[in-house]
Amino acid sequence: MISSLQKITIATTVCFLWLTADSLRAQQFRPAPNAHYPNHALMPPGQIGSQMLLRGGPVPGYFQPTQIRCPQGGSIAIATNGKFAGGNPSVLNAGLLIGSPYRFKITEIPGLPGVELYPTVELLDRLYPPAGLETRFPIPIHLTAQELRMAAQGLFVTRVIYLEDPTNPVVIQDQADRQRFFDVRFNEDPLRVADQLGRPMAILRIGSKQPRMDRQTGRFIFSSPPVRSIMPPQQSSIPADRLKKAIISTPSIGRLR
Amino acid sequence: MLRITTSQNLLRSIVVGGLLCMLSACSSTQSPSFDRDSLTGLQNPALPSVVTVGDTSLDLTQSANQLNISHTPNQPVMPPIQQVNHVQHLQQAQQQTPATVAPGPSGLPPQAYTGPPQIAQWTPPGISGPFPEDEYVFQGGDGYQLTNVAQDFSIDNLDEEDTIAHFHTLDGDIQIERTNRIPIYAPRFASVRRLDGLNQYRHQDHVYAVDSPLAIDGTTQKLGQEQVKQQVSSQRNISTRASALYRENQKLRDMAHQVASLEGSQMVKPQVGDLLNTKVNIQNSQEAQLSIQQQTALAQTDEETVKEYAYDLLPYKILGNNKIQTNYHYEIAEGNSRLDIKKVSSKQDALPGELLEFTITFRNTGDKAIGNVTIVDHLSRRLAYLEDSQNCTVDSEFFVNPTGKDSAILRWEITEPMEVGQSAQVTFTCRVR
Repeated sequence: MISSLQKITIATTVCFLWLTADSLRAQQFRPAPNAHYPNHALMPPGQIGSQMLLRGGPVPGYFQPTQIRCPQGGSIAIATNGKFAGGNPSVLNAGLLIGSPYRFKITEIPGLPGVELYPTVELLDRLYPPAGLETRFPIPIHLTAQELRMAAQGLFVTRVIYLEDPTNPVVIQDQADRQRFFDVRFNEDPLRVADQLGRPMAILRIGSKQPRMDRQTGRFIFSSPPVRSIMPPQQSSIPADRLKKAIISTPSIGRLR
Repeated sequence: MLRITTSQNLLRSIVVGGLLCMLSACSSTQSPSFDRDSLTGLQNPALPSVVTVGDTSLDLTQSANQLNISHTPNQPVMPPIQQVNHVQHLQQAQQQTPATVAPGPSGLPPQAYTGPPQIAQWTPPGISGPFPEDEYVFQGGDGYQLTNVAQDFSIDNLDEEDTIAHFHTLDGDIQIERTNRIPIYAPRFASVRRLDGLNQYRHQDHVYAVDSPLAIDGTTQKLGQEQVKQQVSSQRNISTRASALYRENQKLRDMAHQVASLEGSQMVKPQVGDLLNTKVNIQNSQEAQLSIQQQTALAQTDEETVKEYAYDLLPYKILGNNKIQTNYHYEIAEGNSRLDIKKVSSKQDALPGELLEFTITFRNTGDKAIGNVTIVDHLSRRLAYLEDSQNCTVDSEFFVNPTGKDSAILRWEITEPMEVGQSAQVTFTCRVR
């Protein structure tokens, strides 16, 4: 009744259907779209942010204002055009691209004379502030004296800066010049923990690696990705008439009973 | 011949269906592609690396076009010329269809506006998901669960960030009004730190717990034969089952009397003397029937009567001997009771540590007076109430109720009734955590 060609056709069709069902089944167990679970904070700089861009989240090419602070008295510089620019005292405001790792140079560290450290910063996400408030709300990245001291002693510090979930905040008064942090164990992934507490925004890595000023220097500073210098944050620039317009009338919600 | 043709058509349809399913699965499982030119453009050292802008109103997204970066998720990779045309087509489509995108305030182009979600359909550029509300602290309104106020003024389902007002109407009813919801841009950051180095690995190398010897003396002592025999005692099981107990509970005389009444309901008049002297053997089926009859009789003796009557309506039919005890007469006035309440903040954005002043304005916009007006504000945990900062323009009592989540519930109880058209104002100050 059924020829051999028809048998082969039926077998091929069954195989196709089985493969299709298998792929559809695999789609059901994909992780949440905004979670970083497949990634790890110890991955090479730039890899997690690049994958974040591939997801279609932040706008590629957007310079996210970032504020990097080092201890009072220290000097901080960012690598641009293949070399480190002049150091800024303690605070550096810059617009950084998402997914591109940036190399910084910390010098004149209080308590560590003659020591130079080269931390990296990688942005994973951006903020969506109201128009005109981009520079007032930068992503703060604070380098503490304790971390710099530990890095100079040979430790490798990985810090994931995340945006706190406002529905489940830590009830504590934040200080403007101090960034809250807590340590995780050596077998825990700080990126995953930050994913559970809020939205990871940046990864700071501090080690004691020193650059070799030769042809490899370009790789050490990640080919100096573009940087946009921004002015220090100012006060709110929303005019008073816009504030009045923002007042929403009482919603027409009826009685409960 | 006809069968062969039918089977061939069936096979063709199966093959075509399978191929269509495979094609649809391939198209759905296709991973988002990224243009390689954009990756090279991100790290192109030939481009200007530093662009100094001294104005805070700079457009931080304009460099995307300068760097020739195009992000095309869920789109197949095309040759460079076609891709440029495709990008141009997308840009033209965005320019030609401005009606689908919500316009931004103060003359900003729709794509440049990144403010709060004032228009429902607006989403920030570059993301396809919902608006990122995690950058805002909301205050006011009645989110999550709807708040309910009981007659004893107890409030249920008052969630965090809720602000409501409840009042008594002249009808004796309690009404609830909600304020508007205020978004305050106040992102807060924290960090998670991990230390790796030699000190960490030094702490891991501890193996002192491996040398503990295994002691087996105690195990042999516990397995004693005498203890096992004492635990198994069969006498208890025999003594707990007393078969005579069930026989003693059955009273033969009472059962016989009840069966006699059952027979009497079947139009057979029982003779008392005969029934008392007659021993009736009650079967299980008769017991069940007897119990049903008793329950029916009890239900019929319950007298259902009308307890209360409103207005002048008289009961249609009175059953039983119960009479009306109290007659309530309600006079419902005409008109509506309404309280208009608004909430505003002094700023729409705040950094941690800054102060925010909130103002709640409420007004009796109905055509009847209202009383027991109470304003309740459940502060967010990101806001800390500044003590003695509240002020109310009318006579009121102020309370601060701390909650278990380190937030506070502010409550103003207006002492005097509010006449028609009367308005009042409540102000207080909070510090952003």
